[in-house]
Amino acid sequence: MPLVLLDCDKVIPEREKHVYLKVDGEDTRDYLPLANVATIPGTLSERGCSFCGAKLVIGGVLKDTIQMIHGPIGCAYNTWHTKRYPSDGDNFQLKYVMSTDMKESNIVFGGDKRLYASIIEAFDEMPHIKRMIVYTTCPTALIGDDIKAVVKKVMAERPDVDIFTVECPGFAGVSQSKGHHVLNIGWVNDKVGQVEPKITSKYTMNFIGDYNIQGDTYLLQKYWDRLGIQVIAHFTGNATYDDCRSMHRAQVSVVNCARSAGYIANELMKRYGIPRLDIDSWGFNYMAEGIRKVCTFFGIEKKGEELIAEETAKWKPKLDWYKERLRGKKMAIWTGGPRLWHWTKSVEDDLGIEVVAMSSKFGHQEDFEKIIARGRSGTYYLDDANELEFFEILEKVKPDVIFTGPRVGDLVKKLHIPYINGHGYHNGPYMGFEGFVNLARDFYNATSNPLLKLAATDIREPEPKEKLEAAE
Amino acid sequence: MIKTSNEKVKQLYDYVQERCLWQFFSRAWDREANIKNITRMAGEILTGTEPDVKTPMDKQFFADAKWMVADLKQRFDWIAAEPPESIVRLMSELKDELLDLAVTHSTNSELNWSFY
Ligand code: SF4
Repeated sequence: MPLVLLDCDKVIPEREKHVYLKVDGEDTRDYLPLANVATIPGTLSERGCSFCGAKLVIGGVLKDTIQMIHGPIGCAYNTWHTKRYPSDGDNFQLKYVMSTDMKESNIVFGGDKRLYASIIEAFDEMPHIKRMIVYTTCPTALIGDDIKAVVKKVMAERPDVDIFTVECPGFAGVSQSKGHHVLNIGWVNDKVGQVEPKITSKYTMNFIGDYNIQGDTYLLQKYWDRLGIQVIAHFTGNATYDDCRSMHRAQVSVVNCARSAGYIANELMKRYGIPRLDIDSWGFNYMAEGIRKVCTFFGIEKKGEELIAEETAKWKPKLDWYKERLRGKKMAIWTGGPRLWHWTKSVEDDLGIEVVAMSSKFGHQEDFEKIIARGRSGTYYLDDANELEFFEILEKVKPDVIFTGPRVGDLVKKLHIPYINGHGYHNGPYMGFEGFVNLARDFYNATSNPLLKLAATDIREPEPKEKLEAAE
Repeated sequence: MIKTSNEKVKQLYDYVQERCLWQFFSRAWDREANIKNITRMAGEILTGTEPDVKTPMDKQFFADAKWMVADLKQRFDWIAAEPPESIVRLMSELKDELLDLAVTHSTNSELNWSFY
């Protein structure tokens, strides 16, 4: 059975090319869902805008950088504070976001002056911050504001500041994926190679595609510290702007999220000869494999084995406790794209969980190749799914829990199916050995909690007989 | 669908599908480099030849190959008893199957874009 036309899609049959049900003996040469193409009119997509992909996912994570959003206030609010990526820099990046708050007259007469004034005001208000990213948005891109010229003027006047521009309005691409791309390529073109890092170890690497969601970066950093590996730049979890300008000095780029940041890893390989080593840092078994590969790269395998043995001794019994109780549970994953391929096999191997449906908002066909290669037969694979499709798939696969974002999460709660925040986590971090125990615990709590079942029970007293008769 | 009827190649292929991200890098050129070099080095390790690891890229291929071999040995008892010429043949067939899936007959429409 190849691509599937769901009942709810009969009126938009083009959606058939985005829904796949895997059966034994097939692979992605036979069927590969369409992905990273424009949303079909008539389907209410759950994608974000391209600007959001640049700001919310990557740029906004930097801990020492003013985020200046050149547009109406909503563009700033929509991409502020909705992802939980802390930092050890006073959480500046979570507290603040700046907007030029463009109004009608600025749109009519141009916003360059307003942008200039806003940049100056922001640096004056925050004299300890010397780094900034300026983003265009739909309206300011449409009126042709020249943000690069404004930034050049400010940088000429203030030699102590450095500003990066991201020209990726919401409409630049089909989803937030375009924003990842524009930021990656812009950064390697404009900023990488400008700062020389202080080298403190024989072993140096970039860690790419990890955004310190609920402390993922902190947790992994403990491993790298124990191994004596210097991380030149995290791209961009808990990183500074200048860390990421020195990425050209690493010996290897270790990549977790290849979707949002594979571009910069490839460019570092092409331009600076830095090899790219892709690993999965979610999953117990995968994390061990990733550490082993990194250690082999540097020739420090003994240290790696010691670390893995210590972590396994500490966390494996806990993981197994959950595995005993979670075996055979069914899970759906409705997130951006990469977590589908990172998680599908790791939850199966480490926790005995079956992933029965997966949906990606912004994955490309490359992601679906990975997802389908690793995923189970009998599982549904969807690209850019909409609400009605979710309902229909849920009816078919009946998962015990859904890993997704808060918006879809609230929707499925009404069906009395528990959800776990698959983007920002419930009680993370989820990466690394300890992280996968956290994920297992959240899964266990979600599926053991009787609340949703109780909420579905009608506890009203039956209407008294006399009242019913009187009503007749 | 996998073309070979050789059960051993099928097992190796299924392992790679399940575990190895390097087969599905972004473009045809990097997939090809990974598949050719990692299967070659895996064959060398399995036949007791020390792979030539000189460049940073070699180090990456070696890291991937080494842990693939460790896993394969753990999963498939027959590997240890396989004579060297047979290992070379198996790895070459595996390479061909992977190239067919991930490059030659991949239906990924972005595979040959020169820009990202
Ligand atoms: S779609 Fe355009 S206007 Fe809307 S939030 Fe994104 S950048 Fe702003």
